[in-house]
Amino acid sequence: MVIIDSEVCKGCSLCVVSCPQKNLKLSESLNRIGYHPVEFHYHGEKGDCTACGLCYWVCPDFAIAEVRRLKQ
Amino acid sequence: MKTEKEFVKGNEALALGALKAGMNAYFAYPITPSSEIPETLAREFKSPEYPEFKIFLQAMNELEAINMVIGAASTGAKAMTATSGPGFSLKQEGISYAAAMEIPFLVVDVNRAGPGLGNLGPEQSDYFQATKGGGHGGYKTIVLAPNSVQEMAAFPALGFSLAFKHRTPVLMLVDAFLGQVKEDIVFPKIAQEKFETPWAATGARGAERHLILSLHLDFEDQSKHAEHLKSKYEEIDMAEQRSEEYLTSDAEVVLVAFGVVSRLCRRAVNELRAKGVRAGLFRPVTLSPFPAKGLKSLVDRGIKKIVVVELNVGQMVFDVKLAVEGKASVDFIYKLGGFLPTSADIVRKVEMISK
Repeated sequence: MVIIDSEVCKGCSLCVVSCPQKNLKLSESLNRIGYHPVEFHYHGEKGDCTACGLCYWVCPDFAIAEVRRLKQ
Repeated sequence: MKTEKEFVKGNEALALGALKAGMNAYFAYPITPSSEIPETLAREFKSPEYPEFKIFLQAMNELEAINMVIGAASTGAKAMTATSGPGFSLKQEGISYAAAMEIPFLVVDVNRAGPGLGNLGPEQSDYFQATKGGGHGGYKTIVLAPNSVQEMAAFPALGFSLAFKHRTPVLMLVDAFLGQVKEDIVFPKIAQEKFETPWAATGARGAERHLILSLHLDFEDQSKHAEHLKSKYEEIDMAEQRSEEYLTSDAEVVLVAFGVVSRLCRRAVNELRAKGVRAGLFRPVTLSPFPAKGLKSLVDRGIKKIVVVELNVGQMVFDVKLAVEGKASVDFIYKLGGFLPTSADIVRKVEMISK
């Protein structure tokens, strides 16, 4: 699963595009600085989060704080 | 001194560039997408690396901030403020006064989509307000338009140098994209210039008394002052036009764009060339004075088609039309609301136009 620091996110969507399972999308609500931050859904369009960490690597603002692999 | 590559945000690079240029004072009211500038400056305040940086103050509003900048700059200090769309409107009154009083300082406008509150996406719709003198009375300022984080770091120094050279406020028109984008840059070596300010009101004991004012009730006085400003603007227009050209020497179609759009256009030029269209790019670096000489010389070399790409409903396109004097066709591509066009969009439209 992905832990997001939504107050740092500027909603650039780089992680949304890079996520292979489509677990990330931009939120309907706004954060404190006025952007739509990204939000995480464990059950994505194409499957569950595999904790591949691609979102972590593409985020230019280090808003993806942590990526955790859940124990089955 | 660090020379290795750093991964920084546009706004952050601008703030550090200003500090390296020896900025003394910063006053502003934060507004997204420019807030990382005060954030960075607050972090670096009192850092031993920047002993020249003496004052950092978050003002109560933008009006207060611009008037504080005027106060600091009238003592000969290097002062700066940064804002975005709505705050830039509030600062116009102060910029008009400063233009009249010939006070040099730097104003950064990280252009968000407008009008009104708009949104936080990039747009270039403050072009008119920045380049045509957005406040009352006839004045002009120098307007710089960086197109990369590297230039965001280098331009504050250039801005201060132009401001003190010509005794005029200098604006930096940055689109929200450049403020927010992160790129790896090598910080340029910036020499801290010391500027002669014999006009400054320093308040030093025993020094000559200097009055800095914008009120000339006597018609003779005002007309003399206005003539002086006019000749100064003409001098700036002659000396400070800056632009960049890319593959224009054999071009048939020339794209004209500034800011982040010029980066997209550069890519579009490469893609067009791969498809056999001889395209080129003309990028104004100073929006005011507009580099009309450079553009005119392109048209004089025989270029018949010009395409302006902007993030507004058509503002720079008028300056381009004036510069080419009807000797080339001028088409216009735009995108609004915080979106950027893709290079494929530009290529498709230019192909249509150049057919």
